[in-house]
Amino acid sequence: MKTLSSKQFRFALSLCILAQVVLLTLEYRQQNGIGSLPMSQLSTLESGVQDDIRQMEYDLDYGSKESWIELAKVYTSYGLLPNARYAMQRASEFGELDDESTLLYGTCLSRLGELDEARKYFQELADGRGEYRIDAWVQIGLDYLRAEQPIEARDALMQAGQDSVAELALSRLLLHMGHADQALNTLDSMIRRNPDSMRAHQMKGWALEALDRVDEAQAAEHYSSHCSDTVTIHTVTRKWDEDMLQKYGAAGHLMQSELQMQKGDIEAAINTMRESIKDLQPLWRPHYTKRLAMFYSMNGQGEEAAKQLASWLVHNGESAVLWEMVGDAWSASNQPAKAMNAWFEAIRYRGGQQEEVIVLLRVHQKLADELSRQGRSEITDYHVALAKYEEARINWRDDRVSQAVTGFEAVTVALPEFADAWYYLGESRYATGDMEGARTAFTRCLELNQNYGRASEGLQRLE
Amino acid sequence: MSNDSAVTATETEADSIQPERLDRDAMLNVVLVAIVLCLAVLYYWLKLPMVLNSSRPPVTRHPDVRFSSVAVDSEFLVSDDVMNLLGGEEIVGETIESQKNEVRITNVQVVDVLGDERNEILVCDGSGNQVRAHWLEDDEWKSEVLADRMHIPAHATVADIDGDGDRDVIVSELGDIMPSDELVGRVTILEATEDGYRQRVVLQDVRRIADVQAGDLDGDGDLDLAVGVFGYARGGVMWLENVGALSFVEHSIDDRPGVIHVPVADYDGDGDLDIAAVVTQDEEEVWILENTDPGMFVPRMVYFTHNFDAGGGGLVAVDLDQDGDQDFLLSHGDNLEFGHGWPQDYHGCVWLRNNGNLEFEARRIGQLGGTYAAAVTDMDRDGDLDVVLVSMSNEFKEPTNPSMVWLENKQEYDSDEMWKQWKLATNPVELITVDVGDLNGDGHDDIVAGQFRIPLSVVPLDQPVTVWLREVDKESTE
Repeated sequence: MKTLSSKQFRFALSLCILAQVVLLTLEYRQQNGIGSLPMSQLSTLESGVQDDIRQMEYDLDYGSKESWIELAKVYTSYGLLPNARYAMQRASEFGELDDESTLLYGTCLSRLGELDEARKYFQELADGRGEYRIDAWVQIGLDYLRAEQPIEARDALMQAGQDSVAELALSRLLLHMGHADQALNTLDSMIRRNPDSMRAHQMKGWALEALDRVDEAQAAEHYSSHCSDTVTIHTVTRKWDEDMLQKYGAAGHLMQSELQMQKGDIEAAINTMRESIKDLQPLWRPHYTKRLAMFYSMNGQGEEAAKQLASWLVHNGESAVLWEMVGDAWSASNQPAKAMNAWFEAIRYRGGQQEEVIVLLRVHQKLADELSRQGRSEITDYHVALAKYEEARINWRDDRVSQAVTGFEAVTVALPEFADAWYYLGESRYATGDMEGARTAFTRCLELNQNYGRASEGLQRLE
Repeated sequence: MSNDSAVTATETEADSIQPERLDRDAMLNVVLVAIVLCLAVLYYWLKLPMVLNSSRPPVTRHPDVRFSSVAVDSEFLVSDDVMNLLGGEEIVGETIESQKNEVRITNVQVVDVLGDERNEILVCDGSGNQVRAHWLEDDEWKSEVLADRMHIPAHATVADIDGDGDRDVIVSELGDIMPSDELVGRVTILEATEDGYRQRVVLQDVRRIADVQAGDLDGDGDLDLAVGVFGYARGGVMWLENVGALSFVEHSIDDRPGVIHVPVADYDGDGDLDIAAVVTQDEEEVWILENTDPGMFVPRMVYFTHNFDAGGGGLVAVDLDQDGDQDFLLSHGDNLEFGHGWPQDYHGCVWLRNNGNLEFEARRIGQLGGTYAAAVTDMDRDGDLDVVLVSMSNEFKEPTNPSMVWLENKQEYDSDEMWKQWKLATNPVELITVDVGDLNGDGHDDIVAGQFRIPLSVVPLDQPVTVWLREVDKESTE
């Protein structure tokens, strides 16, 4: 075997060095500097999101500021904060960041707990005249609160002006600082712009309480109990998170299936939802399964829907809405007896999920319709009355008190022994200013159930 | 000099030159190889991805405190009735077999619930909708379902509520695990009877209820109930006046939302029972509802922090410094609203030291990212009370970050130094509830913790209830 002479060996080494220098230069240019993308730890994310983030990292254009920023946004929203900070550092090496990216950088640092460092970025925006000036003051104020620096927090939140997040935080702060009168001014200003803000009325009650204006405090507290307009308490960056979480992994398929349903392509929507559930693995979330079950029901595939609902039941346990959907699945498969059994289970079980009253309203209506079809008028009337009761409760909850009064009055006629309806009638009449009517209703409630504490408190309020 | 010697001299000279040339060649080769290797390393380094370290300051294990951990299993069974409503075994049987109950333990306690003079673990299961008891018998874990088909039980309190000499269980039910202002909360009493437990709903049509505690609040000799209504944006504290025959009259005391725990004790030392409440939704406060006349309560705020992000997870009433009055342990670290919890410096445990006259002094004694619950026991057997903390969200992508620690009490109660902190466990993670007590009858406290899985993250181990049994024998022999 012929061996290389010393000269040949050196020549080969020189070629090798040349090739390495070329490779290094290319790599350096591709990465736009020294240092490749740090490894992100995606082990806690669902499989679909992992795939999407890995793809983004693979597709990263090291020489593009926008590409780094996009990656930083994703990292921030999925809690990969050290990686987000790194990506923002790389983006900032390209020169000045725009306002949105500056806010993102500050947010990432703030979430990492590096509050002083974050403030530099927020302050830069706050001192400018850009779109995010107010958001920056809000973030500065909130971070000062996190750092237990109330004076600085107050000053920053006051700079944010009529921003609802800032106003609520400022009111809370002023209350804690013993300035209930100033908190009251802030809340009144907010209420003028958002007359049905539950949170503003609630805090106003606390401010009045601190000022020993007991009756007014009670009135504000009572008003807050039936107004449901909630002004947002989320900063703009939280909204960015929500948008981002809708975009990747299983959520992306979920949105796609929604579009397919809107176009009437139910088969495609079902297939997309099945893909979506695969993307979620090893995680599981109820609204994915719920949606697939709903699609199956709409497609007349009751048994397939039942399988999805069974999966939901095993994962999360029972709920009124689950039993409603089981009933819907059997109803769609023309099995009314099975449907009624499930709907009865929904009203027996009652709770276990948000929007309980809306579910109960729907279920009573469905039962009434089915019983009516069967000619069972007496039981039909009972469910019609209960549907009206739930409807009135929704009106009460959503501050439509006049409609609530009408509804509860109708229920007390149909079901005169129903103490709950009398209690709510009392509350609704009180809210409309009908004090005598309220007294009558609370009294009747207590005649039916002498231990009905809330009705006693209602009567005390009238004294 | 002869020719021979001249030749020899020339050869010798050549010999002496050739090695030098060879050395130079070899040196050059070595240098070139070194350059190739350096460039290869540089290229590898350039390509090598960094791992950004997210670990918190290291915490070590105490050399003399040992535990062995064991999972306490339970099976979620779907009854025949429920199966039939879903279409029967032939349609959904396979699905039900293949699926797994989400891990959502909302509360664990070590208590003698069955009245057999040994401790059981009383478990509230927020996805199985059960209240269960687990106990150790002949080295095997046994269990009994005390109640099922509940509305997301959050907490269970053992008390003889009907005064008939047995142990009833009072359950607070959230009604919805997610934040909601709907009226889905309930209080259900599991009345102990000879045939098991009879469920009786004594309060409903209220917002999500997180805690119920028993005590004679109006001084009439029977047990009343303090109710913590978490709700969401609206909530509060109520008390239920016991009027006999398992009937109660409800009274509202306070309307602040986000109430997690309502421990009942005599906090002002005036001989009657007061109610404490930790308020955690937007506000981060501790209130004492001072019992001024029988059944009349005056709210007094005894602690607050400006830090809205502190994330109060729970309140434990305990005489930590053993000076005869009730202090509190307040856990900070619930930051679930982001879907991912990043550990913050202010997460950990705050001791609210009772200085009398309803004045409490706050002192941070431990730091653990995502702290959710605390329990108290003498871990190092030196006669004082130490504190066990569990973490819900301590950036568990980094496997060395602990999910459970304990804080060693050095009895330096006036010092501002944090207590010495020791690691107890790194797995399972996402622990939301903890309690201590002797579970194997050896006279030493064991630890039990419950896991609460967030469906936004994957964790290495799904383990609803874990017990750490104290290994006193191994400690003593070393």
